[in-house]
Amino acid sequence: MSAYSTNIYGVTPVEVTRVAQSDVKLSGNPVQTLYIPADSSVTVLVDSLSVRHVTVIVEKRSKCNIELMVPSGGSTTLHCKTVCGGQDSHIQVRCVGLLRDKQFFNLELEQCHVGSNSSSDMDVRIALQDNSSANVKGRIIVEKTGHQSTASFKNYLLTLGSKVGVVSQPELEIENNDVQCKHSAAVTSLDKEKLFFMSSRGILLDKATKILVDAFLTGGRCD
Amino acid sequence: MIQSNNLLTINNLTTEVEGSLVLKELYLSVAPGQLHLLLGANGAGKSSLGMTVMGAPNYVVTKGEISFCGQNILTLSPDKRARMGLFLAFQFPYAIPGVSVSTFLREAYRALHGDKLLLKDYQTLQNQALDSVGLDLSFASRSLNDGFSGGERKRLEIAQFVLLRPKLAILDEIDSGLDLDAINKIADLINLTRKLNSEMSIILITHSTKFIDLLNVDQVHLMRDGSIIERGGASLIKKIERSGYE
Amino acid sequence: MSAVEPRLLKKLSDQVMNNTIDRDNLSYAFKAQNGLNRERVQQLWSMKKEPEWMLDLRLKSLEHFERMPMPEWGADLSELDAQNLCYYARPTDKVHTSWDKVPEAIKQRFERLGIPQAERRYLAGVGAQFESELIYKNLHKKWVDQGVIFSDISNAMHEYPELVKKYFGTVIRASDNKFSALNGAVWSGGSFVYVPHGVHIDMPLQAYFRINDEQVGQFERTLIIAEPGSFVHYVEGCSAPKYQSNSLHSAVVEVVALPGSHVRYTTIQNWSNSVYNLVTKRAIAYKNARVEWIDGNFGSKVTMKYPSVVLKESGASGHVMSIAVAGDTQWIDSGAKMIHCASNTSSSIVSKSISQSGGRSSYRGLVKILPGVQNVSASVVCDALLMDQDSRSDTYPTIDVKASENAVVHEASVSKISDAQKFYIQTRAISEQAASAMIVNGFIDPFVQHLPLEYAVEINRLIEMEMEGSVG
Repeated sequence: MSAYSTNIYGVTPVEVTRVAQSDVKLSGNPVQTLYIPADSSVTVLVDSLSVRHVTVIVEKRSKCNIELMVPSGGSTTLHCKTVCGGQDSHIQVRCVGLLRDKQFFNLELEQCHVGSNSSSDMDVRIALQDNSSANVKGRIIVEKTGHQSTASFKNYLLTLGSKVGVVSQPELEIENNDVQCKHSAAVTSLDKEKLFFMSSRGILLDKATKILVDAFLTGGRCD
Repeated sequence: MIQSNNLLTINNLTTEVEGSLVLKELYLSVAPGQLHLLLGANGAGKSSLGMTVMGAPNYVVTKGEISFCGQNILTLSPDKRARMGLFLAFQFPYAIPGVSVSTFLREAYRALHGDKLLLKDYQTLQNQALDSVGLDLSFASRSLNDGFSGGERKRLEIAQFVLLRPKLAILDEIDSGLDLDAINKIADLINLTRKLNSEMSIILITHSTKFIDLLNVDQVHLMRDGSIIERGGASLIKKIERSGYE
Repeated sequence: MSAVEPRLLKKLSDQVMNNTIDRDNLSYAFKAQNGLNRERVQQLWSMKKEPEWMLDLRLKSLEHFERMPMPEWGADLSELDAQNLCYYARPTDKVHTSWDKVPEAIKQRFERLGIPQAERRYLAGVGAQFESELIYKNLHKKWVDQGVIFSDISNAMHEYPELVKKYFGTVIRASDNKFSALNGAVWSGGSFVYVPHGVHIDMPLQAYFRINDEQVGQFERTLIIAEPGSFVHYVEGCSAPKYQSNSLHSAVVEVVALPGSHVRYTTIQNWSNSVYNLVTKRAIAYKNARVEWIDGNFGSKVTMKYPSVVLKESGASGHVMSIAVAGDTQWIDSGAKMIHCASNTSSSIVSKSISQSGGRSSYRGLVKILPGVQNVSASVVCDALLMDQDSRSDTYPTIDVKASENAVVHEASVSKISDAQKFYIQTRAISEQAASAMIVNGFIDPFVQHLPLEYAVEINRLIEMEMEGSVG
């Protein structure tokens, strides 16, 4: 573990873990900073019940896949900042899950492109039932040096009950014009026609709901 | 071999796209009124040749020269090349939302042939062009290629070929996405256009033997790995059909 | 790679609006001293001979304005000096209904804009405001006979007091934000439009606003009341010469769309680069009513404007189509807000922005669904074109849903003019500049489609002219 005290791409690390390969699980310490050096490929799993702030910096020609676990209870806040620092770096962030009871999940993502030719993809899919609520904010920032970068943010929230509440804020701050950035957000409910179709095949409502919710979480849209 | 009465002469052409070599020391000459066939497996460089001749961004010529109508065109922007009479029917034509087909066609026609025609005479030409490729006149008011099927985009490329009457047209797989009926129609159209305009030349890129059979081919070039490895007359086609692109 | 001519699209509407550096030379019938306080507000009220209730409202608004802080979000307002502005300037002593009677200097300005000619051919009525007051207002007899009122609020307060009192301030309260409070204190001019039950005004009503003198603020207040089943299309344009010091345009527009009515409100804003343009525009849409805001932002130093629709009853729909072109030193912070208070309502927001030569364009929006509301369909599309490396584009949308059984979708993208698209057009012998112009015209086409014909043609032509001057 090497410690970096200097400012990397605008991030001043407190204690940095340098990871060059394979899988890492982040939990325990509420503030975690990860530095992925050049030419590496790393998968990161973040336990949102314990971690509050995670920062991941990816150097040139490296890849990082980050999975943020949706908490299983309580009221949680998670800030995840990812930086494509070097040229040709790639970051993928995913957060997929279900919130229930009185859960509240406040998720703030920030994807920053400093290195040119970098690409990122943030995908948040959360289904909410009972009295749960979520605030999801996802900001894509492209600095002047980030030309030829491609960034996208998808945020889909599925409301499964009349008492849920969501606030979704997909944001963009773009300072270089040779880029392709987009985001897409939707707040929807289950498609009644699809539910009817399944029940006409004898599938009980609970099971049909579960099937559609699973489909939603794995990438389909069931609105 | 350099012939001074050639329409297009390509010598020792080497081109790179993002650092990768796509054309290697390629030689090609096309005289007026000829139809040249460009064959080869996918990735052989056929489309790259078309893109390089038209001056596509990202296609960097590192060696060699291209001359059209006796003039070196490598320093010219794509629109200047088009104004000299070059035309490329794209393999994957781009969509331009918000720009209507009629606006686009009219501006393209104007750029080449000026404003001499009365509006209603131009309108007749445009409608004839759309009709000749089987596109309903309602396409004129639609957003250029926006939401068009592959076949519809190809038809529009051919309609432009018919409308603009270029000196040399590079037709990149204009038959793909079209059914047999349409292919017959397009072949008829090409033959008719060649008859009406005997000095016009075509470089045709295609995989379809049915399509080739309907046309009169003057020369055949087989491409592999960015170069032309074999050249011949129409009889070369049968040979390649039998033994494949290798 | 060549650079596109700076100020390319800014100049387009300079010509549409005939913005020039020169100020129209005329003497004013009255011009207040700079600065804002209770005395000035009272002076304004008494000059306009307004009823007591309006004085109360103005003074309370002033209190709100003085108490509220400047907003901490949005564009940079640090150079705005509210005390160093003239809050009231009146060029003539009365409102004319015939162009012949309007003072020559003012008439020439409007003739250059083609307003009198357009009135003859395309419009149902015209209102023209110079600095703080209207100098011209005319409505075709056909509409007067059907009971349509096209006037300004000051006039309407005298002739139709009950009508004004019923609706004034009901859509936007003085306490809504600092600048609606300012407007509440010093508003002057603007339009009052009343469309009776079932009347469809089939030609647009045009209003035109000009800030002429240096350091004059313009605070027009517009109130549109559309009775059940009626239709009106209101178009407003504005301009000002360019000065060293800044001026402020802080308008308030209230639209009441009663059941089954349809109101379309189009704005072509082209203030010069010394104007702070801070506007509050809101509509309340009742049962089955439809409100459309067509918003074109080409000018100003800073714009902060978020047309909104409160969808109050079932069947209501709200639509915003906005474009912003931000050039050198400009910051256009605009967007839209849709508040769904009732089930079975729908909304759509389309925002297209172009940033060039160091300009900054931001989209700020809100789609809100209140608890218990169902069957809402809402969509937002924001596309931004960044023309060069010096410019900036931001998007700050919020989707706030406290219910289920609704569908809200939002898509946004930022990019430059695609090289591939430009190349394709160039292969058809069209020059690079003309190709860029074609793509930009295509980009703003959804907006241009909604404009009255003569504006649309003019804007397309000017984009082409602009592109011609670019370096190859």
